[in-house]
Amino acid sequence: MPLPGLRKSLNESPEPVKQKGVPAAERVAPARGPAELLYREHFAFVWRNARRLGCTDDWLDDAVHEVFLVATRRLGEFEGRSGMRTWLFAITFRVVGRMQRDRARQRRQTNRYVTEQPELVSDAARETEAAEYLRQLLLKLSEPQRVVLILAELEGFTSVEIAETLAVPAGTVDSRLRAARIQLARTLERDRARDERWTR
Amino acid sequence: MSTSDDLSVLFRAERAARPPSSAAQHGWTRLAADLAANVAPLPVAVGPLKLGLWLVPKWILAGFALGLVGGGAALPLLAPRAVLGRASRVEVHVAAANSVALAPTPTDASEHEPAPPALAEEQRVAPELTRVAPPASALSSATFDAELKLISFAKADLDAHRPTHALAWLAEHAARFPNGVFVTERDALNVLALCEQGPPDEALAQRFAVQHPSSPLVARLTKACRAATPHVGAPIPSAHASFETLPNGSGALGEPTNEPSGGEQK
Repeated sequence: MPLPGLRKSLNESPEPVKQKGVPAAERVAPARGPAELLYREHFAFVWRNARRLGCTDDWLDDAVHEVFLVATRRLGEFEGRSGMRTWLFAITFRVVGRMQRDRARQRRQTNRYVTEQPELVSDAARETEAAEYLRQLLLKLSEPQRVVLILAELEGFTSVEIAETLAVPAGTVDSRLRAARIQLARTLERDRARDERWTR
Repeated sequence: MSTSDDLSVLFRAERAARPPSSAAQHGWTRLAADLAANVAPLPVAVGPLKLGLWLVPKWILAGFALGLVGGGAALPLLAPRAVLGRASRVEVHVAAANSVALAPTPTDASEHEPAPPALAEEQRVAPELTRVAPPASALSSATFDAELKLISFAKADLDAHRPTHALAWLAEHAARFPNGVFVTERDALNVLALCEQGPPDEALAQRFAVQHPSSPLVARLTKACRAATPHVGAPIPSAHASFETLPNGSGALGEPTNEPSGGEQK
C-alpha cells in the first residue's frame, strides 16, 4: 500500500544498491518497508523541529527516536487529512513536551542530592551562533505562537496547513504569527539594548 | 541594521541548520532494532495539537470528559467485573472536603474528620481539613493540563479494565498534586479501580461517602463495589458506561489512553 505523505519514488520498491568490493556479510541491506521510508524522508524535518521546540543536544537523538517510534507504531491513525509533515510535527511537539516534563522531574529528584550540576554545552561546531540564539528566542514565546512561527517562518507551511495541524481557523494562525513576530522583535531589541549597555 | 533585518538573518541561519551526516544512519539502526524488539512507544496523542484553549472551557470539557461534574445525573452506575488479581492494593485516601472548584461545600471542612490513611508514609497524602480556593494564578493552564492528563489516563485504563495501571496514574497524581483540583475525582477513581481490581470492598465506598457526603458519586461507588459479585443470571453492568469518553474515542482533550510505562498494549 502506498504510504501517504511520501514521495512517489519512496513508495516504490527501491532498487538494490550494488556494493562492489564489499564482502557479502558486510553489505548494508537496501532500504525497505514503510518505516524506513518514513524515517529517511522525514528525519531531517523531525530533527530540526525537535531542536526548535526545546531539545538540547544531549537528548535530541532520543527525542527523534521516540518520535519515529510513535509515528511508525501509529501510522494507521494517520488519516491523510493533513500532510504527513504536519502530523509528524504534532507528534514531535508532544514527544518533546513529554520528555521535557520527565527530565524536569528527574532533575528535581536528582537535585535533592546533588546541589550543582554542570551546564550542558551544545555542539557549537554543528550550528551557527545565530541559529542557536534564534532557538533561545523561540523558547521565550508562548507555545501557540512558537508553533505557528516555526511552521510558517522556518518550515514554509501555509496558514491553511497550520490551521489543520492546530485545528484552529486560519485567521487565528495569522494573528498568532503576527503576535509572534512582534514578540520576537521586542525581545531582540531588548537583548540588543542590554548588550549595548554592557559594552559601553 | 533594523530589527526586521536581524530577524531575517536569524531565520536564515536556522533554516540552514542540518543534522550531522551520520545522525540519520545511526538513528535508523537504533530505530530498526527497537521496532524489531517491539519496544513500546511513548504514550502520546497523534491528533491535531490543541494549544491555547481557554481555561474555563477546559474545565467544562474536563468535567464532561470525566463524567464527574455537575451531579453526573446522566451517568449509569459502575460495577467492576472481572476480578483481576490484586497486584498491589493502594488504600484510598479521601480528602476531607470536596474540590472547591468542582463542588464547593463550605460546611464539609468542619463536619468531617478525614479517615486515617493506611498508605506507606511516602504515599500518604496529608488530609486537608480546610480547603480554600487557590488563587487564580495557581491554576495555571500547564498545571491543569498535567492534572487532567493523569486523571484521564487513569480513567482510560479503568475503562480498559487495567485497574493496576489506573492506580499507578492515580498514585502519580497524588504525588504530584496532593492538593490538586481533581482530588475528588482521584479518590472516586481510586475506589473504582480497587473494586475492579478486586476483591470488591464496600468499605472503600463507605469511606468515600463519609468524606464526601454531598458528592453525587457516593451512591454510584457504593453500588459499584457492592455489585462487583453479580447475582447468578444477572447481567453485569458495563464499567465502561460510567465514564463517557469523547466522541473520538480518546481521553479528555484528545489525549492518549496509554499505559504508564510500556506495559500491556491495547
